[in-house]
Amino acid sequence: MTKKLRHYWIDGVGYMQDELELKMSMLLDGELDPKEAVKVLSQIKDDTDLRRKWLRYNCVSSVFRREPGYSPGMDFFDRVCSALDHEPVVDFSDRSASRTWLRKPSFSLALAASLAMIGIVFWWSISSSFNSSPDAVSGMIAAVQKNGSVADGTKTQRLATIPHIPRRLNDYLITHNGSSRSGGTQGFVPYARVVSYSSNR
Amino acid sequence: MSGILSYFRCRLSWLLAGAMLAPVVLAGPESAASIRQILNEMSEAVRINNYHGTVVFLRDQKMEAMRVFHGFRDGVERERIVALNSPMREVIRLGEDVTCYLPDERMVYVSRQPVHRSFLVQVPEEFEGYEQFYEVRLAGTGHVAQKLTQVVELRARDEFRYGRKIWIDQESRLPLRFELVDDKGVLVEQMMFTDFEILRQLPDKMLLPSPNMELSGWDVRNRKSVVHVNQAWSFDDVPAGFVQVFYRGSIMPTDKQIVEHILFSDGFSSVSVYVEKKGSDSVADYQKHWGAIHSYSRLLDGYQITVLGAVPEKTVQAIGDGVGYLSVSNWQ
Repeated sequence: MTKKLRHYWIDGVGYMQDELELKMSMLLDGELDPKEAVKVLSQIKDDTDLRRKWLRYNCVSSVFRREPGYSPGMDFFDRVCSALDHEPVVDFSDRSASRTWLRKPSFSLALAASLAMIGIVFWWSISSSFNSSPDAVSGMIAAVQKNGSVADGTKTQRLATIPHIPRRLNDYLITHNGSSRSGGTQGFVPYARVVSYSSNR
Repeated sequence: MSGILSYFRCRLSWLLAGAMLAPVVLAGPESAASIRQILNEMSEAVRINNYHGTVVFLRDQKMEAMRVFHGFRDGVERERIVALNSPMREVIRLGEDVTCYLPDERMVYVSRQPVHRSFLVQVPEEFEGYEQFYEVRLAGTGHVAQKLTQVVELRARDEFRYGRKIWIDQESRLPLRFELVDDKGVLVEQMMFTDFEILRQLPDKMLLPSPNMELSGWDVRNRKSVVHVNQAWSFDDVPAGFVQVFYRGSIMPTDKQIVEHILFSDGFSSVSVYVEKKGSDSVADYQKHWGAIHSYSRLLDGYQITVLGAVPEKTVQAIGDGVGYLSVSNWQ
């Protein structure tokens, strides 16, 4: 199974699908200027597929920023595995840049894909709680135009209240996860805990 | 830039490699020996292979994503783990040298850890004898990151350790998914590769810290060990199967205080005991847990005892309550 890329038109300029996705991602990261943000949001507002994608991007952003109400269920991994098994292969054979692209290290592609899949699965779980109507996107456009800022209208907020761990306990935690390898018990998981401690602090 | 969504700017083609690998189905009778062989092969695979991938880590209903890079060259393991969630922490290990970059605290932990064992999931060097603490069995097959995996389940035979499931790639023998389960069958921690790739050689640049780890103005903390003369503490109620791995002293980077550190392990799970002189911020009967990790702190004769590890609460409490005082600590 292959995936065909679509064209979109914004102000008379044609965009390939992935270019628009790039701009959507930049928009969510707060990296588009307000004028361009309004253009992209207008395109999203008028296209059902783009609205779905936009919601998915918002969803991924919310999950990884650990916002309240965006907790995955414990069967989440099973659903991700199942979804990955049914994913199509993307066909770049008709792209002029495909050969150059395929020579690049593939990890960024894989990362994009796997995070996208996480977003898809999570989106399935909670999409009913989102308002995906054109009116909702219009509200985002109005917010950007009113505030002159992308972040105020589109960007999600980070969770501010995080339980505190005493400083010394944090030292112990890092020491334990580093040294427990000496017990022949270690590997990736302890270091994964180290890089993810921030959510505890 | 948040760092997560920017990756969507790349196009999707990760399945190109995944579709090329044919699965190898395990055959033969299920026996403790064959499972040990699988686990030993896994242990070796995670040590000597060059690979990188995306890992999702789930605990306390919170999800973390990270990139994992692992290389093996001239007999030395090299690895790098990069958090994709803000604040983008990183851990880099080159052989025994471990550096933790904590940009959220503008801090770097540098330490030297003697390591001789494998990477990725908690596995002992030798599996002989662990059956008395874990019921080990094959639990079918499943797909992870589009790879066919053999599932190995280790059910804890008592309440002092977690059970675990490991999804092992039937071709590479790498563990692609891992679960910790408490004695009630509740998942306490999960991690899973959503993609991975094995390389002939891992490029050096993949093991370099990210450009935003500039270190300018950061607090660099070297965790030093000191030579001990004798162990001043006894442990009377350590659950069966946990044996002492080492006893050493570390100088805490924050206040230069010497902390005694005793490590116990049952081969799969490790528990650390930290002992230091009572200070103004010492706490009595303090318990905390996050994900699979539990900690328990108490005061004993002017010392703060803290027990911490990826084990159930009753394990850290039993070890902590069983600490006894033998003699005055004597560090050089």
